[in-house]
Amino acid sequence: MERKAGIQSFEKFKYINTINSLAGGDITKWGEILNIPYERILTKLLLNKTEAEYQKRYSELLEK
Amino acid sequence: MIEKKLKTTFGNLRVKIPAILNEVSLGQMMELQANPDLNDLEAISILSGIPVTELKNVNNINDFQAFGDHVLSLSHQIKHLYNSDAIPAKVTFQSGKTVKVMHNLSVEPAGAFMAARDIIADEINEHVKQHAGDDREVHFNPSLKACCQVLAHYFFCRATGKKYNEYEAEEFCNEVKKLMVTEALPIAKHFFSCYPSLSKPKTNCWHRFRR
Repeated sequence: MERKAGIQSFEKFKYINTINSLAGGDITKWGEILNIPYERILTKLLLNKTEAEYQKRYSELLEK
Repeated sequence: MIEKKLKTTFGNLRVKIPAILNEVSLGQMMELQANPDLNDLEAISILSGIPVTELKNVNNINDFQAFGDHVLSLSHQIKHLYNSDAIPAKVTFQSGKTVKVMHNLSVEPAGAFMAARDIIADEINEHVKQHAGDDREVHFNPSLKACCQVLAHYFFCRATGKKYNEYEAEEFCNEVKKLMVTEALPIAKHFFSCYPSLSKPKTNCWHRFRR
């Protein structure tokens, strides 16, 4: 579905997609994010992914 | 280094070029790699930092003969350029700043990590596109330009003491170019070979995470 909607058009922005997402879309925070240790970024991305999966499962359970 | 004073139409010209590969900077090697069909005078110009127009003022062209032999010798050594894996313990920049390398082979912070990762990925993708069907592990030698860019991101914060800034890190390529190719290339090669794991995770963090 995401592909159909054209998510690939974001590919040209490379890692800026991740930075922008972590900065909550606030460009003034990009510099701060870029200076965080990579390990911490990785942990946060993993946390976001786990949260999203949890929310999806939770929503599915509510619908049943 | 080999140095000679040559007579020109306007006086004397002191020409100094590297005699061995250890004396060639990454920037010089990048220029040589970018122009595969160089003649001797152009190669001497790159290695000495003297414009070709000035070199053409030398009265006797045979004066370049001694340099030509060294250029030939260097071109033979360049063939083995990518064979060295010895990572230097430390690197000293022209600013005088020394950076310890061996115990700190992580590209940090996140901005540097992600920029370096993209440069390496682009280089690998380009190579795969050009050599589809070849055995990449045997034939893949990253371009010196990509090596220089990766090193600029790796060294920027450590060498300048500044916070990471992608634009300034790119500009730092000019400082990286001044490093000797024999010390710069093995470090860059390390990152290309350990891609995509350009950073060494701190055990403590994952320890906490697992608990």
